[in-house]
Amino acid sequence: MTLAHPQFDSDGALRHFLDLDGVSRETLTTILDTAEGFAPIGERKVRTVPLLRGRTVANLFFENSTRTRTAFELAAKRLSADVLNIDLVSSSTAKGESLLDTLRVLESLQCDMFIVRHSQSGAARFIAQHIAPGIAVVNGGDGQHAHPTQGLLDMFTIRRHKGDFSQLTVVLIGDIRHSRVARSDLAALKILGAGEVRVVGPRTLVPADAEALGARFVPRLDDALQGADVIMGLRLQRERMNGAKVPSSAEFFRHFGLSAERLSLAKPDAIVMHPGPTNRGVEIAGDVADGKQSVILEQVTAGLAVRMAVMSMVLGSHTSNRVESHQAPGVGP
Amino acid sequence: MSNTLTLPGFTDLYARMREPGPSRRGTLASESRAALAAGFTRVCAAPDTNPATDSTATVELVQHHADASNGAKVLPMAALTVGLQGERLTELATLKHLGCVAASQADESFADTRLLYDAMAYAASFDFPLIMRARDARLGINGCAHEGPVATRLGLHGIPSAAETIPLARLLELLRETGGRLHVTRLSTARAVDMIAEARNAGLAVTADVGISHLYFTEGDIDGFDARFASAVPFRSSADRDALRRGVRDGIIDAICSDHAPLDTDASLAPFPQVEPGLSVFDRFIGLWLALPEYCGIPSNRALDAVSAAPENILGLSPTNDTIEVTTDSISDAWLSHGRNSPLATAAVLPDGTPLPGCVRGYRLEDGRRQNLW
Repeated sequence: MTLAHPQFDSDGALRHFLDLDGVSRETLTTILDTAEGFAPIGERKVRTVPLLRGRTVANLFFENSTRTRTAFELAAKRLSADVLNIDLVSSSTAKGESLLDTLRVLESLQCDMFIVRHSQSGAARFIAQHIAPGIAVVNGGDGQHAHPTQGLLDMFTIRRHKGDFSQLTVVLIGDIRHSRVARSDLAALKILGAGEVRVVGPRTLVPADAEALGARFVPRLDDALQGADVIMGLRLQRERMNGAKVPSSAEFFRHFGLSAERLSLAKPDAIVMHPGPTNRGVEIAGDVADGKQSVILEQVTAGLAVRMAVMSMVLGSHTSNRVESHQAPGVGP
Repeated sequence: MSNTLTLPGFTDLYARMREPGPSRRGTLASESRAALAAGFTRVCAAPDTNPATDSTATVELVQHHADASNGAKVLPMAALTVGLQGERLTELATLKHLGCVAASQADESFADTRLLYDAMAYAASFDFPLIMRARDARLGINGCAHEGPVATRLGLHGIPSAAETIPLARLLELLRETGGRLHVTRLSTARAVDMIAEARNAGLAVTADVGISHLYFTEGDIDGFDARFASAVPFRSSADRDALRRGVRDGIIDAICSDHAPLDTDASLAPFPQVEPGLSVFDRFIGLWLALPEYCGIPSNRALDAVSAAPENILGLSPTNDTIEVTTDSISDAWLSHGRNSPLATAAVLPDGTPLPGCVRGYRLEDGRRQNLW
């Protein structure tokens, strides 16, 4: 009666990559290990491998994005896939065509994989439930729900610097409530068994039931930073800083901004992360973003290897399953 | 041993018949017929039709089409404000005279407390029952699920419990001043049940109902973005659901309604936040009703009262002479409502796998019509 998660095939292999629900530590670790294998390719002169030669990957972006789209595009190209960027923000969906009608048209373009970015939570899962067999869906961010490749690239970066997750104290600062990145980071940290995960921010930006996300709410940033190994800032959307959820960006920075002085409360070797784009002087001081503890640009680079790993694994699992019918339950004629 | 029960016809305090409106969602003919399969021989039709049931012309159209249908008797509810916009009162006395059994703001919120005060006072002067949902739309803005751990995890905008309790407090405080007959429909929170009990202890004439689905489902059922459980009145925590069950058992919640909301398939083919909320309930109502004693701990005499004498009293109707015949050893495969938007549509089983018992086999209406449904 409960709907099965569409991202796994009958053998438990990933046929889509939508969120981290039900993803085992083993699978997650395999993705990170695979990404480690891909990482050196970026250092070479010839930065492509032929794994996805002849396959077509389409970026379906129903919401504006430059960074994520570019990272997926480059990752797909490094795997030798053909890449199609389809800007759906200003196209037929805006003219009232339903999401499903748009999908039917795009299916007819004979792609192997859709990278989907959409403003509504659950959109990637909805698309995966309704897509024709043979097309894999990778979630490039759905509403406030999930951004799983970002979550994984964050884990990849943490693992490179810190190794064992069980000993780590990780702090997420700021807009947890509206952040798909925070949800995927928290889900991944839970799967990997992170020692202690704290969230800090004003109550307008932190859900009352933060423990549902596997984190402990700490009201004050100074307390939250004590003994931290990993500090993750989150982007505060501009429309939320002007009195809606936070009275002003200046007040936010005074109480929840990561300054050099505050950073000194964490462990001396703590790393500073941010999914970008950063608002300097809002979530993070410029000197901290550029400082030696910052790994913000490493995160961007890690995003390539992690997305190569996800795309190759998902399409690899698809090869054997693409003829199987997988009509979603409850979606009969 | 006989497995057939003969029961009085049920009265539904809140259902959407969708006419006038797009017929692919439902017509008075299709939904009044489906109501009979639920055991209802009288159904209060919600005024959130398109256009809203806010004028004599629309009420007459509803009555005319309902009379031509071979189904449950349709009791139109009048929109409390023109177009349900919450700005101008409708001709309540005229609409009552025409045959409307109550007035309602449907699922629309009421922003203007002064106008609400006047609406309640005006309705009271004609002894016209108000069937009101307690909803602060602004507090639950963009919300599509109970504000709780599941919505938090899925990244869905939540509808806090206070979006029900604050407007409920407002209704109760106004009732204290205006008098009249206030019925609060489709409660969803434990706190609201307590508030109704407190108000009644304080001597206020307030009654309440709950949609039958809310005695079964919780926020957990939407996990995985299961749009079959998208409901305008959100499914809340299991503690809330248990309080609703106790509220019915103890009679604090007088009645159980269907909250029937048939939709066409397209309405649910979208990501969860963009799905139009609502469950088509009629075709599974009797199964859910029969399961109340065992599954929800509501004694069968209270369960019967909650769909017969209690709603009749709330509306000021005389007891019905309609009867229905319910069988408890088979269920029907037919689906009469135009809306198949139900988690129980493909199989008549509850989320935990419990099969729903029984179906309505036939009915005898007091106008002499008697028929087997199957």
